[in-house]
Amino acid sequence: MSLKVIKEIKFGILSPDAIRKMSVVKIVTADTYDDEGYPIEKGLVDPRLGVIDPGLKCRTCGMRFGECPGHFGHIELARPVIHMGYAKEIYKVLKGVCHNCYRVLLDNDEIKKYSKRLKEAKVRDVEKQKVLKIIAKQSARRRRYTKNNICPHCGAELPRIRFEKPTTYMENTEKLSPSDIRARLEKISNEDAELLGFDPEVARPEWLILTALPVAPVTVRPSITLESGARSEDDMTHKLVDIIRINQRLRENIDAGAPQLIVEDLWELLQYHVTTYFDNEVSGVPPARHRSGRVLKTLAQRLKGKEGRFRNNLSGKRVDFSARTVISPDPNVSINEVGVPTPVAMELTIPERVTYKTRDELRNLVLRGPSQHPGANYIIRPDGRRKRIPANDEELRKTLAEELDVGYVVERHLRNGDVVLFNRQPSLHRLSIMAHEVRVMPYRTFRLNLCVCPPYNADFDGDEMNLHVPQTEEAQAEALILMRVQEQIISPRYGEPVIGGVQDYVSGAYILTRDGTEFTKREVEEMLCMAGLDVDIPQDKNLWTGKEIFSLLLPPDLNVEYKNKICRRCTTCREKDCPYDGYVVIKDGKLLKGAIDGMAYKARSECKLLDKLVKDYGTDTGRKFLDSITRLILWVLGMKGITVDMNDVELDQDAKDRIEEVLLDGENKVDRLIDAYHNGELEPLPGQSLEETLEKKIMQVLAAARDRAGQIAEEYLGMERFSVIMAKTGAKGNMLDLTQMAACLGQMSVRGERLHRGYNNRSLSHFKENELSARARGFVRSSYNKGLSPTEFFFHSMGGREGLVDTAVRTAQSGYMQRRLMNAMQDLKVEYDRTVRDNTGLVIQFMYGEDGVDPARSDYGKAVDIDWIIHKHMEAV
Amino acid sequence: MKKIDPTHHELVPEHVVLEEEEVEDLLQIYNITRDKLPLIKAADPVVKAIGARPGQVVKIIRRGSPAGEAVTYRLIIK
Amino acid sequence: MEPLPLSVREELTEKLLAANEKRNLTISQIDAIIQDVLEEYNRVLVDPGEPVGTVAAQSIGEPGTQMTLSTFHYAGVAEINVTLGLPRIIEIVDMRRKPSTPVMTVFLEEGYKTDREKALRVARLIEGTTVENIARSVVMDVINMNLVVTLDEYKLDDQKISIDDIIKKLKKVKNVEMTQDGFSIILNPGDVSLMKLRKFAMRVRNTQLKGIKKIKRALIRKEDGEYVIYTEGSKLTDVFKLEGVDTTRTTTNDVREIHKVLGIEAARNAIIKEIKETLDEQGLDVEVRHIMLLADLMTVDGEPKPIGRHGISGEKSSILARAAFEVTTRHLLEAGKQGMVDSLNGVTENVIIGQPIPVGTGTVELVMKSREVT
Ligand SMILES: [Mg+2]
Ligand SMILES: [Zn+2]
Ligand SMILES: [Zn+2]
Ligand SMILES: [Zn+2]
Repeated sequence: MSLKVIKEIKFGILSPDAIRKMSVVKIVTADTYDDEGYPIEKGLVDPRLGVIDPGLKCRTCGMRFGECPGHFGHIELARPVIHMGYAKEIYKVLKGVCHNCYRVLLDNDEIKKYSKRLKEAKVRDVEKQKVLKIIAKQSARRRRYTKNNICPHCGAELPRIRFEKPTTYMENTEKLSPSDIRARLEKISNEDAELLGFDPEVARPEWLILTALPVAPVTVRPSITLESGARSEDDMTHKLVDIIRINQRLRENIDAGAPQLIVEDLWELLQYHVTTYFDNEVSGVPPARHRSGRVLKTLAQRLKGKEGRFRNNLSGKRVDFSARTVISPDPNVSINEVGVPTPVAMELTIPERVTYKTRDELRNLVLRGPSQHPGANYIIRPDGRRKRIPANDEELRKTLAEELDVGYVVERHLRNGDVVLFNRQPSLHRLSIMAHEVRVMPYRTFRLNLCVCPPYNADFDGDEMNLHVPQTEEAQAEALILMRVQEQIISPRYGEPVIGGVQDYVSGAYILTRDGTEFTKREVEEMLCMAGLDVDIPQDKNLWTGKEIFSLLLPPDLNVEYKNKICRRCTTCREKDCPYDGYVVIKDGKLLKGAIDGMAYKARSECKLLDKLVKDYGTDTGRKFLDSITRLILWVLGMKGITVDMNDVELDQDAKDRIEEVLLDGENKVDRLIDAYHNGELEPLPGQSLEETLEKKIMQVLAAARDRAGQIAEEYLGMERFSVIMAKTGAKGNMLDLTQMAACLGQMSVRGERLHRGYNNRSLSHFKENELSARARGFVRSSYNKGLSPTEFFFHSMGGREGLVDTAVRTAQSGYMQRRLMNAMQDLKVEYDRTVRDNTGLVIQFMYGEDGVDPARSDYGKAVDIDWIIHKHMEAV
Repeated sequence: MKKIDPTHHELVPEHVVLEEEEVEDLLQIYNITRDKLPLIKAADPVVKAIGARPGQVVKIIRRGSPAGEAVTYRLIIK
Repeated sequence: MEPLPLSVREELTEKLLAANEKRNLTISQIDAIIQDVLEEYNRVLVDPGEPVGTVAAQSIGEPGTQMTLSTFHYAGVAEINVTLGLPRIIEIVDMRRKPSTPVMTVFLEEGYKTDREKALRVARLIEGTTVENIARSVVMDVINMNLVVTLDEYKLDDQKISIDDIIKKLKKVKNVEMTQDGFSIILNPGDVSLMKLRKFAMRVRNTQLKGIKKIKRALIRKEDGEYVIYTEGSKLTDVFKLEGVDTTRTTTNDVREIHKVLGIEAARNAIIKEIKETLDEQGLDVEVRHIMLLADLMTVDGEPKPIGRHGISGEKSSILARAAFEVTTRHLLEAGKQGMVDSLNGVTENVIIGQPIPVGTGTVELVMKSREVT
C-alpha cells in the first residue's frame, strides 16, 4: 500500500500556454468516426485522447481501458471569447482599472493601505474576502463621479462601463470586444492584479478570456454504442462539435476577408457555444439543445446539485463488499447479531492472511470452493496476483489449496462471528450504522432482533437494509469496539436507551410479572431453556410467580424503586403497598413488588431498569438482559397470548348512555353559544374579534365534552382488555386512541381551526350556509366502534389529509436543515485538552459542554450518579 | 432617563478583562495563538460597559448549565 | 485526572452531609466515595477526537422529522401567536433578521410587579397605537383632494387618547390645514398630485400616537404572583427605557436584538434557551450540550452567524467542502481566480479525495514501518 498523502490542493486558472502544453492533440475537425468506425485523427475522439474501448491501448500513454486516465486536447479559437463563469469578474476588473494607463483606480495611499490590509487578512480567509469587496467598491467609485472622474495615476477621464448580461461590455456607447478587453487585462501589473483579488502566479487577469479551449479527454465523455450499432455521443462532445464548426467558419471568413458584420455574427455565435459548453443554465442565454429537443448537460451541470459530481460521486461513493435485501424479525438472534442469508454470505468475502495457525483451515475452505457455504472465492498470491477459485474444477482447487502457504491471502466467505456494518436509510444519526456479528442463515432476508428496530427506525413492511463488510483487521477492530450494537444502547442524543423492548415485549413483560401470574416447574424449565438462561433452580419449588422468574435475569445486587407506567397517579402514593402493581421494588436482584412495563426497558423512553443495568453493570449485562428477556417473553406470549378484538372497545349500555348525555350536553352548549352570538350577547375576549371568540369557546366546549366522554369510557375499560394493557404499559397506542374507538372521535381540524372550507360558506352541501353548529363544522360524535356517518367520515378524511401533507413537507424541510447543520458542524472535534476546535484550530469551546461530559455516558445529562455511589458505600458496611 | 446596564441582565454572564500576563498564560495552556480565540466585538454592549479595548481578552464566567460554572475567553476585535 | 466541575462538587458535598446525618460516615468511607466520584467523572469524559459537532448536528436534526409543522400555536398566553416546532428551529439556525413572530416577555420592577393598575399602565405605554388602529376609516377625497380620518369613539376611550392629541401628532407629520368635525378630521394638504396624496395618506395612517412602534399588542398576565407583560412585536431598547420595567429579566425571542442590546454572550444564551424551549414544547429530549455547541459555534465570531450558505458553511476554509455544499461552480471559479489553497483538514474534503477523515480514530497519525518480507 502506498503511503502517499495529498496534503493540499492549489487552485488556479489554465493559461493558454498551459492549455497548449498539456494538450496531446490540436483538434481541428468536428467529425468523430470515419465510415469504418475508426476514430478520425485530430477529431474529437482522436485516439491520443484516451481509450474508451476495452481491448485497445492508449496512443499516448500505452495503458489499457480503465487504466488510462485520458488526456486533454485543445482547440485554437479563431478569436478570443469570454469565459462566462468569469463574466462578472471581468466587469469588476474593467471598472477597477484605467483604460489608459492600466493601473488600478486607487491613489497611492489607498493602494498602500489596502495592500497592507490584504496581507494581514490572508490568515483568516473571511477577512480577505471582505477586504477584496471593499477594494472592488473603492476602485470603481471614481468612475461614477460626475466631476473629477479621472484616473489618479494618469489623469485620463474615465468613461462609464456597462455590463450587459451575459457577455457584453460597453464603454460609453462603444462595445468592447473580447480582444480589446484581453489586450487591456494583459497590461495590468501583477501588483495591481493582486489588489483585484487575483493570484497572478496562477491566474493572470487576461486568462479569463479564452484564446485556446481545452478539450476534455474522451474518458470523461465516452460515446455509447446503441443496440442498432450506431454510436451515440456524449452531450459534451456534441457541444464541442458545435464549437469547432463555428470556429472553422469564423476562421475561414476572417481569412477570406469577409465583411465585419458577418465576422462579428460568427464571433457572437462562437461565444454562445463556448458559453453553453461551460454552463447551459446561464440566465439570458437560451440553453443549447439536442436534436431531440432535450437540453444538453454540459460542464457546470455535471458538477452541480444532488445528482452532480460533488454530491453524487465525491461526497458519497458506491462501494464493493456490500449487500442489500429485505429485513425480517428474528427474536432468536442477539441484538449484537444480524442474520445473513447464505447466498449473501457466499458473495461477500473477507481477506484472511494465511499463517501457520490458519493454514489448514484456509486450505480446507479453498478446497470447498466458492459454491459451498463456508468456502472461499479468491486466493491472493504473495506477489499480489488474484486467482479465482473455480467452482467446478476440484483438481485445480486441490492444487490451489496445496499451493497455499504463509504470505498468501484467502478471500473467504462471510461466516458466523464476522463483524459487519449494518445500515438503514435515511441515515439521520450515527445509530443508523452499527456493527453486528454475522449469523449465516438460510433463506433470503437479513434477520434482526426487534430491540434494534428503534435506532434504525425499521419495521418489516418491506424495509430493506444495507450491509458492509470491513476488509482490514484495523477496520474490523474499530467497528467492533466503537460501533457494536451493545455499545449504542444509550443514545448520545439524550442519554437514554434507544435500544430496548418494543411493543409486545413490553405488554408481555407486564403479563409475565403482574400479580397472579404463576407457572409450574416444568413450564419454568422450558421457559428458561428458551431464554437460553443457564441457572440452577431449586428442585423443590413447584409453583413460580412471574416476578420470581423475572428476577432470575437480574444481577443479584440490583436495587431499584420507581413508579411504573400503570401507576394510577393516586394523590397519595402508597408506594410498596400499591394495590395495582404500580410501584416497582427490586431489592437485591429480586423483583418484589410491581409489574415490569414500559417504564422498565422500553426503547426511546426514560427506562429505569435497562438504563441502570447498562450504566452500572456495563453494556454486556445490558445486552444479555435484552437477549434473554425477549426470548423469555416470547415464550410467555406463546403460552398466555395477547390479542385484540372489537370487544376490547365495546362498552355496556350504561356507559353508552352516559357518553350520549355528555355529548348532547356539549352540543346544546354550542347551540346556546351560537344563539348568544347571533343575539349579540357574546362578550369578545380581549384583543379578539367576536367570531374568533365564538370559535374559541365552541372549541373549548367540544373539547371538554370529548374529554369527559373519554373519561367515562376509561372507567369501563379495565386491565382485563388486552388493548388497555397495551396502552397503559406503553407498548403501543395510548388511552386517547382507545377512547376514540370506544366513545367519541371529537373535533376534526385543519390548521387548528374547525372545518369550514369546501363549499360556499359551508363545509359540505349537507348543511345550511354559514351554519356554525358542532356537526356542520367537523365534530365527529361517533366512535370508530360505532362507525362514522358519511359526513363524519368525510370530515375525518380532511383531518387525515392534513396530517399526510404535513409529514411530506416536514421530511423535506427537516432533511435540508439536517444537511446544513451537518455541513456546518462536522469539522468540530474534541482535542486532547478537551477543547472543541474546528479544522482551522479555532477554539469553539474551552471545555466540551463546559464539563467535558459525553452525553452518551452521562446519567440523563448529569455527570455522576452520586446517589448510587454513596448508596453502594453505605451498603458495603 | 433610565440608564441601561447590560451587565446586570440575567442572560449576561460576568465579563472580566484579562491582564496581559494572564493572556500569555492562557495562550500557553491551550497552545494557541490569539487569532484562534473566540471573538467579541468592541461594539458589544458589555465590552463597552466594562470599558475594555480591542486587542484585550475578556474572561467570561458562565454560571448555571450542567457544569455549574464554566470559564471561556473572547478576544476583543474592532 | 480532571478536577470535578462545580455542580458535581456542590452536589457531592450536599449529599455527603445528608448521608452523614443519617448514618455517621468514617473518614475513610468519605475518602472512598470521593475517590469513586472522581473516577466515575473521569470515566464519563468525552474521548479526544470525538466528532462532537457531527453528534450535535444529528441530535438536533434527527428529531426534526418528529416535530410539528403547524406554524401557529398557542403558547403561554392564548392571545399571542408564536411560531413553534420545526419552523422555529429553522428560523433560529437561519438567524433571520426578525423572527416571524417576535414576542417580548416584560418583567416589572419591585413596586410595579404586584400592582395590577401600574402593570396595566406600563402595558399601555408599550402597546403601540397608530392612527390606523384607532380610526374607523381613513378615506381619500379625490374631488377635494382631502383626507378624511374618521375616528372610533370607543377605541379613543379605551386607549385614553383625545382628538386634540391626535391633531397635535398629525401636525407634526405635516403642518397642513385641519378641520375637526365631530369624530372626523379633515386634512387638506393643499394642491398636490394624487400620488403625493396617496403617500400622505399612508403616512397619516402609520402615525404613531403612543406606545412603541411595531408593538401591536401588550397583554398582562399573572405568573408566580407577579404581573408579566407579553407583547406582540419586539423592541427591547425602547421597553428598557420605560419606568418600572425590570431590565435584568426582560427578554425577547429575537436573538439578533438580544445581541444588539445585551451582547454576544447573551445572544448565545438566548439561542440555547430558544432552541431548548422549542424542543421541550414538542416533547423532544435533546441534551443541552449539543445545543450549547451549536450556539457557541454560531457566536464564535462575535456576532450571531447563520448556519448555511450565508453563514458558517459559506465561510468554510475548504473550497471542496463549500463546492460540495451549495453553489458548486461559483466556489470553484473564485478559488481558481484567487489561487486558493485547500489544505484538506476537514471531513468533506478528505471524503472527496478518498483519504481518511481527521476525526475520531483518524485523528491519530501513526505510521509503522513494516519490516520487509523477504
Ligand atoms: Mg417500513
Ligand atoms: Zn492514455
Ligand atoms: Zn490612468
Ligand atoms: Zn401509585
